[in-house]
Amino acid sequence: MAKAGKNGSSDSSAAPPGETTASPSAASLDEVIHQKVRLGIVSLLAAMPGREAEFGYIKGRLALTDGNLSTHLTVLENNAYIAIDKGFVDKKPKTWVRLTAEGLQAFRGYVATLEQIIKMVD
Amino acid sequence: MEQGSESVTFEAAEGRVAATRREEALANLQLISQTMSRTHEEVELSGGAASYILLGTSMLLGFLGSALIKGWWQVAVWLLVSCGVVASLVVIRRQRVTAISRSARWLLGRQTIISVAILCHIWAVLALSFFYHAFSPQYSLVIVGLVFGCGLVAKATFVQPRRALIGLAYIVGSLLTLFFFMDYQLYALGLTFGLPTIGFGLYLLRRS
Repeated sequence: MAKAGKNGSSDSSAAPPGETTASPSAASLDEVIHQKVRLGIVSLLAAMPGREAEFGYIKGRLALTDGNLSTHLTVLENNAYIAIDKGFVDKKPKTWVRLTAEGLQAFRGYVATLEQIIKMVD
Repeated sequence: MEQGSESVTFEAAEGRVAATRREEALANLQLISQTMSRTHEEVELSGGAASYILLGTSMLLGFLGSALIKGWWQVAVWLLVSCGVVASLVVIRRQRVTAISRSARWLLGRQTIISVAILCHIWAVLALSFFYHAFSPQYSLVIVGLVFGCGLVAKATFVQPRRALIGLAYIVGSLLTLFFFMDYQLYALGLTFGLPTIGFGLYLLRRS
């Protein structure tokens, strides 16, 4: 079974039931990051300056709908992998999404696990 | 006999699972790598067209201005050009910052660093030629053209092949100046550095 998020819980806040993960058989992989859309979100944030991006930019880059992106961001936020900050720029509402230290650590751990899997099979 | 065949079947199944996991792990690593490299590229190229047009125009105006205006007024020309370039780059990038990210590190993109490095070099050449009369700024300008040209070609080989054209223009411009147009160096550099850079900016603008 895939490992749950930071809190160690496998409740609905970690990963919504029935959603597809990149590899259901991959043991010891962080299930929160393992889901493909969330993996895309975390990878994008990890590459951004300040590890932060605007909601609209993430939505456009990953070709997601508002609702879909919000759902995945909620899962990541519930596991403290991201922090969401709302504000205004030129009187227009903006939502900023930032990868937290925990999120970055989890992402690095996830990549290390993938590399281990590849080495093990080699 | 039956036990042996069961063991072989189990091992074969285990091998298939391991191979599938490896393929999935490779696919995920590829997804991460693609997402991150595309993000890095977008961050560096954000405002790219405007930056290239700005840098090309500044070189055109700066070098042609220096050729036409002599003495201490050259300093005024480059001061205006430098202030214009830095202010415009900050505005262009700041607009993108508020659109995508709030981080100030955004300002340290490749184009900003290259633009500031070119301007710093020109300022250093000007300062040396004013305060140390034995210094010949002409060869120094040729060297900077060759260095930036080779750097752009080397980088473009791996990242964006079309960008190599600007590097080649810098190299050809520097060599032509060195061998044929040393008396008209500032005009030659203004045209061979400025016009291809503006052209590349316009190309990026059209493509975007």
